[in-house]
Amino acid sequence: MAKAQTLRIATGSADVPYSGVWRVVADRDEVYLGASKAAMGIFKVSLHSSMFEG
Amino acid sequence: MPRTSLGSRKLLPGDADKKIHWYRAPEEGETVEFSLYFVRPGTPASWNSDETVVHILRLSHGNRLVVLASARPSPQSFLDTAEKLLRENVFRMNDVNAFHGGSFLWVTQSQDDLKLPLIVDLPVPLQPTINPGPFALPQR
Repeated sequence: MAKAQTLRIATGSADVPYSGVWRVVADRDEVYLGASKAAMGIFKVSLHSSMFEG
Repeated sequence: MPRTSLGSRKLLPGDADKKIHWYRAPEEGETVEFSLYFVRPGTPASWNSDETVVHILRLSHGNRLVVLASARPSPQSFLDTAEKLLRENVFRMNDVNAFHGGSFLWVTQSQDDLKLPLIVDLPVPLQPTINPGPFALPQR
């Protein structure tokens, strides 16, 4: 089974950030979006593979 | 992520050690947008000239997730609403330096016919707890 991929995106720079560090986690055809690793336990957006159907 | 009156913010502890794809900060009156597009295999895709491909994640069955970034001028009504939310939702702490970082999220949708879901990442409006002082105590 392929390992989930995590992409971290943010605006600004490491010294002067203008956003939180958002995580886009892709696991097979499932994608999860959250504002931080800790926050993903509370709030995350799930995009499921069923969107490819139909 | 709009540019707000609260300016820049802190990175959460541990984030600085991670690989992060940085896109430039929004300038005054701008909002930086990250957009996610699912692309089926064999489907031609092109993006607007002001959009930057940040990364492409490969999903199963040849599907791809394309992550785009752009910086655009924001409608004044959007910026006004963001500032209003920051003014009306102040979080108070005894020691604001103890705050490690985080986001104040506003979930809304685009105002066009597509009604796309939008998550607006705002800084947390923090202020020290108001100390009434000894003269504000009720008299006995």
